[in-house]
Amino acid sequence: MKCRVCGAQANIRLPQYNSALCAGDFIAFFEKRVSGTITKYGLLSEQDRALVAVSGGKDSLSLWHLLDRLGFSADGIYIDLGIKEYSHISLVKTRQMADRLHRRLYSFSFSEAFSKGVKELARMMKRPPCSLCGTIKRYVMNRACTDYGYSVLATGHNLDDEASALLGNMLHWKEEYLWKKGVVLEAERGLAKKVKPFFLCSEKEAAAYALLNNIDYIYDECPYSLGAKTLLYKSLLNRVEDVSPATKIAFLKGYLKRAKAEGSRGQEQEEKGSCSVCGYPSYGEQCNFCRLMTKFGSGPAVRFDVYVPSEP
Amino acid sequence: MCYEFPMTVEWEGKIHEIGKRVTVARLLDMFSLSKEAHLVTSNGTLATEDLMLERDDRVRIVRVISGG
Repeated sequence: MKCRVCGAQANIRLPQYNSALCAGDFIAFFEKRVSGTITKYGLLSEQDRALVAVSGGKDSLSLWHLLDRLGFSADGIYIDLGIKEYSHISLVKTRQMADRLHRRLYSFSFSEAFSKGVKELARMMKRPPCSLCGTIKRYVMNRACTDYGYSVLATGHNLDDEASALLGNMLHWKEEYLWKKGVVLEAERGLAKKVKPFFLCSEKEAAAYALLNNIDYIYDECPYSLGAKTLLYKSLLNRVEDVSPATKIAFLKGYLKRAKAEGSRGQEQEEKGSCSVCGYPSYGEQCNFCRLMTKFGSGPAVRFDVYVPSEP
Repeated sequence: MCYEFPMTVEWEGKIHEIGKRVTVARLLDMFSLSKEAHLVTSNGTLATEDLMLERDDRVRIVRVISGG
């Protein structure tokens, strides 16, 4: 199979675009595509300071690398969930990327804040670890943006993440979440703007970009994601994609079109107040995070380590 | 003779030996894996599905799906 651009031996086939590309042309194609998404949806401007949520996985590290390549000012934020070996390896990978890009990496230690890892705390609270993890991540990442003056939080959510979540919401008719997905979530009082530059890029493309750029990412799964429904939905969608290329992107593009119409109908939203402890938007007197800290916290509310790579 | 230099395939931390030439697409079929959810490298280079893998190639199947 030949590269559609230069005619050399191709390295990746992209049936959803009826194309095949060599390594160099794929990298250029992928970067142009993400750049196009950034421009089309107004995700980032030259004036923005972005913080990239990095987990050590292929998507977030590729995103950090790519934003840097496109010339955006982007540092990283990592949350150490205290999952022993997994968290340790993840931190090493994120620091490697910080070194490679000569960018700052902020990190928040779950174990330091709560004297226990996410699994132990979730067990005490009788909540699934993933649900607790989501609450903590949303708060801490936003807090890093507001504390350190970053205008945008960028995450590595890709087409497969979004399509599988959408499928899950539809299968269970979770209407409260159904129309809330998007490429961008604009800033609100106390909340930084959130963007997903890989929204229209498949997980396979993101992985290929990581491999071709020698990005050293953590290959192992988070131990708590094993058996997650998301993985099942992704697998089902990929089986469909194998026989009917471009189904996933048509699914999401169709969704975005409909979500825009749904959004313009003016959803009624309950007015949010502010957390009495930290000022974060909250429906109750305290936000979920501060309630957690009040009950289980063991130190200062939020403390970040700041890793600054040495000059090249 | 054809088994003298079997192709080695690394998949999920295990090494498998394949005694014949196969294409990337056929290899994924042999492991019942989705083409959309996996990448294959041959001697460290990303390979398209039509590429013929030779017996002494070092092949690695990379799972691309992650997350909970």
